[in-house]
Amino acid sequence: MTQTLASLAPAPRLRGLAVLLFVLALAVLPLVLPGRFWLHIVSLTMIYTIFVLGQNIVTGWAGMLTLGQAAFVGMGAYTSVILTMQYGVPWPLAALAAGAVAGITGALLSIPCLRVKADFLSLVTIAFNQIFFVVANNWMDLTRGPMGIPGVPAMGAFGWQATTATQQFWLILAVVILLFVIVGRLTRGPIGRAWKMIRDDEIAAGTIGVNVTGYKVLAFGVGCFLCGLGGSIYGHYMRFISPDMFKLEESLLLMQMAILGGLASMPGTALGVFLMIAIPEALRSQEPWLITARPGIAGAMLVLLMIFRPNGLLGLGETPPVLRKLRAALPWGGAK
Amino acid sequence: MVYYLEQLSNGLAIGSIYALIALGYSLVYSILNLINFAHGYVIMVGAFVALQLLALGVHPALAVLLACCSGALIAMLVERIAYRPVRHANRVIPMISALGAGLVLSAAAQLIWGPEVRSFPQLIPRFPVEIGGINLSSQSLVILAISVVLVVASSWFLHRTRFGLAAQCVRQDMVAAQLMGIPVNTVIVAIYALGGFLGVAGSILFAMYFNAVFIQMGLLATTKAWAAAMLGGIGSFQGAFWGGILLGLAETLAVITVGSAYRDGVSMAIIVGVLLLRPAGLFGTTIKERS
Repeated sequence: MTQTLASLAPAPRLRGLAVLLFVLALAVLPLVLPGRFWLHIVSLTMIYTIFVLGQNIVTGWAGMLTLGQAAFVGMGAYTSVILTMQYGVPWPLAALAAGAVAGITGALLSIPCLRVKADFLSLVTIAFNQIFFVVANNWMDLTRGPMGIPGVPAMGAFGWQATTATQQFWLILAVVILLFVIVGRLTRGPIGRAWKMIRDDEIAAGTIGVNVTGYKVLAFGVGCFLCGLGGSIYGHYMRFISPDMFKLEESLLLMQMAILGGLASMPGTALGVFLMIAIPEALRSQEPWLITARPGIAGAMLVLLMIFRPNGLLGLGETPPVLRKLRAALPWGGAK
Repeated sequence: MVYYLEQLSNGLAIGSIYALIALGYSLVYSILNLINFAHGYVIMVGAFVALQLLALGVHPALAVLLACCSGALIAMLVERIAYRPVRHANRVIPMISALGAGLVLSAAAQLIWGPEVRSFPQLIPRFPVEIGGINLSSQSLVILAISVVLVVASSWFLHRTRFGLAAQCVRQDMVAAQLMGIPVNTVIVAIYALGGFLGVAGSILFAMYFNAVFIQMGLLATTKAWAAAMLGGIGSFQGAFWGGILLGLAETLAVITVGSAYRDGVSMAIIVGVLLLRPAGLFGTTIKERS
């Protein structure tokens, strides 16, 4: 009788159990996977999840289109690599510094756009990404230009280094879990509610006293912080960075993943990365055209999604009843 | 001094190309308040179509005309498939579907023509022209002339014809225009087509000027065209033109003073500068806010 939307959702305990099982399954993956190749794909997928989480905070929760997140990833990667290699800073500190540099730059960059209109953020971030590429390619003294920086030290701290693939995998997994917990708390708390309100109705949010510009700048800063932090992990995982890794095309890919998986949804973030990184990378040797066609396939899916399901595959919003029931049956589905 | 004057003509030529591309963005923005991210990709495909037609041995003038028409056609298709269904949705949604459509075009172009940078045949003969002791490039002069003719013709079309009047009504109030019996959808499609036509003309001139056609040129042109449109005032027809010219001059100045690597930085600086100091641009009045 009293079946409401909320009661369709699985009990929180069940949901927590499902997430716990998923994490445990991931954690034992290095012990059961047959080779380094598969472990690399899962590690790469997890690193991309950090970038897309950053993108999703800006685009999904705060409703602003940013198209230059790869520049902030690159900024983080270069900051961290240069700090550890030239100044001997321990990796955890360098990673935090990478996030801070990217986050502060992003926040400063977004102020002029957000004071006027969030639309311009997408333009400025495109331009910023192009400039970042030009500077990284030409500032030979600092970045070695197109040659890139090889021999990046592995992640680690206090004399310990994650040298084997399995150790790196576990370290990345730990960081990703930590970030998901933090972002989960952040987006469910007052800040997240302010972001969502601004996204859904900016004028109403301003009327009841939400500092619209402030929260938007904060969202962009946090998103860029995550990308910078992820960039540090990416650089120290790949052990090599070059400007080519942080081109505009990469940014567009991140944007596609966030939207495809689900705006303002953390499982959606993971799903988007799985669809666009794990699958094409796993099939790279058999189906090489997938990598070339990836932006186009995803682009077509974006158009269809925007018409039929504007919040992405697992995003919130208007859901047909059948899909809603299906989602409620999934461990992460249910009312938001 | 002579050197600077010679460079000035290059700046004017490249600036007029940016103006042609910027018009496509500015026209759509003035009517729909939408950053049409697909535009850059549409004009890139148009440049490749021109290249392909020329390679097939089509007469150059006909090839260029056909390519421009193909740009108009693709722009119309994109409007029909990716924009019209989501025109009234939240602002971010048409922008995303625009990008999606653009990425489809980009992947298709890459599968057909490959990722390499192609050279573009020099359809305009290149020789020095001496005017009053200054050596100018014939190419720059012809590019400038073509752009000015196209801009003047479009300006006449948008300000002096019945269609132009309808477009202005739609721009001021779409609902009221519809109630007055103006076929709003037709007007919007025509605006997209005009933008695509001018944009491909611009991208072909761009390809000739830099002797290069490549997949990324669309997005590169996007940043520059937007810098031009914002400098002049978004939505303003004259603004887009003068903004383009000023951007071309500023870039050329940057190239001869700082170095060519930082050419692309100018547009970024202009976008941020305009947003900080005068969001409405030099010729615009206000920025419309739609929520």
